[in-house]
Amino acid sequence: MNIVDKLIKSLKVKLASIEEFYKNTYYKYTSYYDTLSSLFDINSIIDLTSKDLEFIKKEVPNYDQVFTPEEISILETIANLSPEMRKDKKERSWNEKQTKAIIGISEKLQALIYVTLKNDVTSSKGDFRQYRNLINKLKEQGLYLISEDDIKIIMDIVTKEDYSQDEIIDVCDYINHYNTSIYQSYFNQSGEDLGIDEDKLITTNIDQKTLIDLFQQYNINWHVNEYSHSEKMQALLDYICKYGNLDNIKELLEFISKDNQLNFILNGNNNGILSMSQAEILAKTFVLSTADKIKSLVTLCQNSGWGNKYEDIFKRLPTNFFQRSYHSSKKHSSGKNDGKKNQSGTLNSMMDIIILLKSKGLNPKEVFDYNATLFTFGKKAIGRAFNQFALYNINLSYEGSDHEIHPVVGLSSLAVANLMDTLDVAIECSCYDYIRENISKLTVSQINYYRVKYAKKMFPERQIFKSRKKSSMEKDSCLTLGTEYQQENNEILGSKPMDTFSKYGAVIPNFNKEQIYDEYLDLHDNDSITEFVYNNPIIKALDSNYAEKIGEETNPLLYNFDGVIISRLKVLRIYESLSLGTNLSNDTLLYCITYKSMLNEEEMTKIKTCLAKANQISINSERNRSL
Amino acid sequence: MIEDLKLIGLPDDLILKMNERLNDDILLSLAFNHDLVKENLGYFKSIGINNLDELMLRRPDIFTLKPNFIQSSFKKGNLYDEVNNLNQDYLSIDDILFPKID
Repeated sequence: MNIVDKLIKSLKVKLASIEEFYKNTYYKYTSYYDTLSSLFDINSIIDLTSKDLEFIKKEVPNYDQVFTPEEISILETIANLSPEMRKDKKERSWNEKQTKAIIGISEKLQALIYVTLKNDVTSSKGDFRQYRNLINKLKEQGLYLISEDDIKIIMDIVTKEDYSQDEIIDVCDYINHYNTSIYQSYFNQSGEDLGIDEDKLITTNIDQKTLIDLFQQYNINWHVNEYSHSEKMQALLDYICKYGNLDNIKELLEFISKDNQLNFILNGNNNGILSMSQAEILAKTFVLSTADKIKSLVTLCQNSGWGNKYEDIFKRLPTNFFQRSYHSSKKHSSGKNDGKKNQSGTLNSMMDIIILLKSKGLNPKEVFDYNATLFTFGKKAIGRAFNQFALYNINLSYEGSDHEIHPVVGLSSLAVANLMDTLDVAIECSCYDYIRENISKLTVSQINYYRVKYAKKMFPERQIFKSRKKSSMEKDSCLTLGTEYQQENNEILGSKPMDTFSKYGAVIPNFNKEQIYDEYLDLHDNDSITEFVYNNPIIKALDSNYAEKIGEETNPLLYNFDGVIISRLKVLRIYESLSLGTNLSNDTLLYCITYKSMLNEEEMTKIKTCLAKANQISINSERNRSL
Repeated sequence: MIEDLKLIGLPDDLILKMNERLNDDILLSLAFNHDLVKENLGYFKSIGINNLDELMLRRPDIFTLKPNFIQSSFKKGNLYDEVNNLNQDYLSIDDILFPKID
């Protein structure tokens, strides 16, 4: 058996035993405790039932000695009250002695049932979620690192169970390779295809004169001393001679020169002198491309809306002549331009993206005419952005929609960083419809959507959005969102988000693990929501009580916490991401709800109250389930 | 590549910003099409568009469109309003070049 399979099997056995323990013991006790503890405050102890008391008597060893006579007296009196008396007693307040007894009961229960049990569970049994995540990581070989905690679990298993010394070394090797590959893909544009490794190109050392003569046959003048940038031309010639294959270059020249939509790339001025960028493109084409590869792209374009007029895709994006390449020995560029990689070549990504767009029902030619830049981004990034838009119910193909703009305009937003965070803020600031109709506005990172939330509160009677088509004369009548060009109303609404926050009186909540949460979110895409989150009791409670309703239907985008609008998808997707790396608590959930939201003290209180209610509902439903 | 970018006649600080913000595929495309870019840039300037830096950095591929297409698109609407809108918000180039097909 493969060592990974063996490890997964061991983990599964361990997981099963932990889950069994949780199911039979832990959930039952903790949910029961949560119910009981909520009873033990002055106002709600009156709800204690005889069933609760039986449970306490059964579970607390030496019940008679643990509780004082006053405490026992209170417990028994209340448990035996009839419903009518209970109702009547609710009005009454407790005296000092009784209050002390109630607090005593609560503290003792906490110590006896909960703390002991919880410590017992977490110290000896571990958290089953961690095991589950680890198994998934090993199975899916995804993007998540095997963490220090994971390694502790693995080492615990391999040292205690039937693993030979060699197998333990294999496991360590595997973890090392696994994490290294994730690390590398993280720095290589999140696993994008990097193209050809230039360090692995075979050195061919073509004779320079032979090559220059060959070029001359096609009216290409590569006599370097005839160029004003002769050093650069020499360097490019050296590059072709070092790695080029003469037969391949001949084939390329023959193919390109005979295709009158491609041969512009070979044409210099009257003396055959090339422009510097043209020489650069040709050098890369001769080394990194083949006639067959270019033919494949041409054929794909012919079948994808271009027909026999495909010149534009090579003219407007001449990097379509060759594939991307990189240097494996130089992971990072020389440090200039802030680590920007010196890379070009779009032959592959052009093909990938054409296929992707067709699969989404879009016309690649129309998209290219509108936004050629899009084709220089990786397929993975574009595909991910499509999914993110779909999650937020935004249809980029615009079929049957009433958008005011051309169908492909929104596509430039596919390359936007932090797309979903922007959508969340827009949703919470009543700008969702605006975004849907003006998708390309997502590309403007300076737009301060918080201004709209503030303006709506302060000036409910004024129009907020300016129609895109209105003439400039009409624009003064409304409070616009404000891009860098629309700086009006800054005094009133604030220019940067932080200005608006301060005008709004927004409170910034503190979280114990805030830094850990932030770092965790930075490392992940945060764009998936699985059954784990949908089936989580507290999320279920939020969904059934606070998801906004449109008639009978639930609006998947919004939570309405007593009038405070929060992006539901934000809460769910961030909760999902954090569930992979941290223990979830109410603190975590509050972090998810308030993430990037502009909320004042009053709104924060409303959210906390609703969250406490939802918590109670989820505890009750868990209690009903386990009893 | 940089040699050809300079042929467009852009100020050095803009070329520096373009180097920082645009990927090499786009830079090479602008450099290769420097004549076209220069012609389009000249047209935009002549009709009074003043936020060309932003347009160049945000929508560089617009400059490699055919000058005929760009000029006839501008002529279809009210040039005064179009230029005014564009000077306030570079994204209104979408409305001018790619209006909704009714």
